[in-house]
Amino acid sequence: MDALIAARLPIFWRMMAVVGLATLLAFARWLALLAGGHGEAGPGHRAGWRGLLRALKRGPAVGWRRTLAHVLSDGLLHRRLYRRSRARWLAHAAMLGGFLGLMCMSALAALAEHILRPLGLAPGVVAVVLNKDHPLMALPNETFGLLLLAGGAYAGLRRLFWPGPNLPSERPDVLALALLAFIAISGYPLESLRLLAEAVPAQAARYSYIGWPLARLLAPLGLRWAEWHFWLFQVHVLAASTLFIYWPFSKMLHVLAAPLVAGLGAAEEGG
Amino acid sequence: MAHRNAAIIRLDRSQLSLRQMLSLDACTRCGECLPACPVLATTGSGESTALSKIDLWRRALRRGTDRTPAPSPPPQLPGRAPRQPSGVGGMATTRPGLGLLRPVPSGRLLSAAYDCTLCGRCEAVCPVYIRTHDLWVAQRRQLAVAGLAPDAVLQMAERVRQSGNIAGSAAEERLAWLANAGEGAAPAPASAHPDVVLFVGCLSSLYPQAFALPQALLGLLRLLGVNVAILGESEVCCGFPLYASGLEQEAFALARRNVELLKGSGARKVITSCPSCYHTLNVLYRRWLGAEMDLPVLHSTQYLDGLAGELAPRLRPLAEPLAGPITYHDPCDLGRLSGIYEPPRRLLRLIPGLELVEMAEHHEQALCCGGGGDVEMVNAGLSGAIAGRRLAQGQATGARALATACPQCKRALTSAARSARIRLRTYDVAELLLLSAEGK
Repeated sequence: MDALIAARLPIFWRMMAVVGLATLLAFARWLALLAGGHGEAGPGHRAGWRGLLRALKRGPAVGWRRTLAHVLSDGLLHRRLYRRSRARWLAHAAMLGGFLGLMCMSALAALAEHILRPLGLAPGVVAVVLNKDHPLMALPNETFGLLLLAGGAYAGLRRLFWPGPNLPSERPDVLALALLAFIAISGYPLESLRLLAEAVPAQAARYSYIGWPLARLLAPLGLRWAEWHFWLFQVHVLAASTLFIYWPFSKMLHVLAAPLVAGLGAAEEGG
Repeated sequence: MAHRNAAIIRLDRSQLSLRQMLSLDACTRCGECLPACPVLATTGSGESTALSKIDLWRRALRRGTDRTPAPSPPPQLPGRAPRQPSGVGGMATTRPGLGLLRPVPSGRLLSAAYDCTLCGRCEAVCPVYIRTHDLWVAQRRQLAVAGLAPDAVLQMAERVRQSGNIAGSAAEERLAWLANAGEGAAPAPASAHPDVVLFVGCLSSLYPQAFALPQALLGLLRLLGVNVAILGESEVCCGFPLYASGLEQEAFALARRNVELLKGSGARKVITSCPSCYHTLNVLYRRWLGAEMDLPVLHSTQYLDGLAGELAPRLRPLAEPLAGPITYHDPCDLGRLSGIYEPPRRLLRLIPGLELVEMAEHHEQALCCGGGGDVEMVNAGLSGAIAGRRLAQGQATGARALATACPQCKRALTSAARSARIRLRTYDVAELLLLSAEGK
């Protein structure tokens, strides 16, 4: 069991490989289109890879700098959505922030464990990052999860219960939201089980401000916490992997495509 | 099984640009576009909404299409269809099981693509700035390349091929509108080096409901001492109806011919009162022909706005029944597509005593008149019903008349007002200016 538990971080890397492969597949799907590609072009348009290289060299009509600025302000910060609905903007920002935050925390842990520590680099940073009970790790982890849940709850309620006059909810929408919700929700009991399995003292565990109260509720059950933690971790990873595999074939691909499209469109509009 | 596969028609992906393919993936189905869609608001059918079209196309690109009609008939106009469990009337839904592998019926793609006025309201509200207007045209191009374009569209293309105009009229009929345009209206010879050349367009030349537009514009230009030329019988369709219906390739020859004629006129500027012609000449011709199209193009309201200083002293208050508030309808191709909102309004405000009142939806949010996107050609009932909604918004302002700056908007709104017996007359901005200048 210890060996299995020790395999947690390699699982992360396998998951990252899946994400990378899926993303490559998505890009390949887009790039394959360049062999043809009429689009908005006229009879003088040059198709194919040569056309793509020429287009990249020429850059966007409004220039790279302006386009990149709009990728940030309109593709990621969604100014138009902000103007139309503060509530939806907040919900989206919470989901995006929470999701990116959790991804960064996981990536940071993997970096510390597999690169910095073996190379003996930044031992102080490694010590903090690999200590899940350190306030700098525990507080952001709990908060990012909470943000993701809050944003997801709003999106789910809007889609399922207040769909407005005509907003259709279909299986792909529900599946994406359900997976996100499951990943975010399962993170808290997972943290509680870890605190119980590692018998983390209250003084250190309190920074997990949701996981620790939950752990105290569970403690009287007296289960084999290490095993429970291991299996819940597997389920958690399975859900995350499913989401990442599903990503390039679902509307989740908007995470990559939307900032580019929004940046280009807003830059051209001078928004 | 082989037989079944043979019936599947693959949409030509190369008709979409990389950006358009990215746009299909950028849509999050957030639904912001739904309240903006005039077709959904008018019929209750969500098939033509941006959300639905993007979803349908994602699947059609993967699975192909076939020559089968839409599975259920679209809801009847003008009533709204009852809400369906998974979305709205006919809106794209993902079917479970083997349905996931089934090609998308071409009937659904056709009604989604062609029951759309290309008004661009979805583009104006999309949080990720998807260029829907260009995307919808590209989708129509895919259908046309696959041999699925509606008969009405193919007939229109044939008329243009045969006669050089959408009406299928003889070339000499292009001058019919000049009959009542007053003296000195004959086209200036090329050697006269006119200040501007007026590209009249098929609608204003060949459809009597729109004759008043070029007549009024010519009257105003004469009043202002502008030396104007027209292409007369030689003018051919700008190509916009072909472009908008997915037959862009057929428009290139028309573009070349018009550019040759415009340059041959000796004028330094081109003006047109039709927003679709304006977009075609100003944007599409440059895209299609590159440096070959080097003449500046202005919409008539832009040109007159530039002459406001000379125009204003000649204007007098409008007489009854036009004395009172007037509302302005933003044509989609002039407003959202070309970004021209203020010149027509500034011109109207030049008229002494005219009170310009805005409708509930205006500028970027303006409702479509129903006449765009070749919808009138393939679904006249839908076009009229949308126009009726716009007229209702106009009536709600208490305006005496509705002003616009587009011959197709004028036609669509006038026809709808007649058939629905709505007492709100539509004028072009140039008509009101001329009436004011003439003290009528």
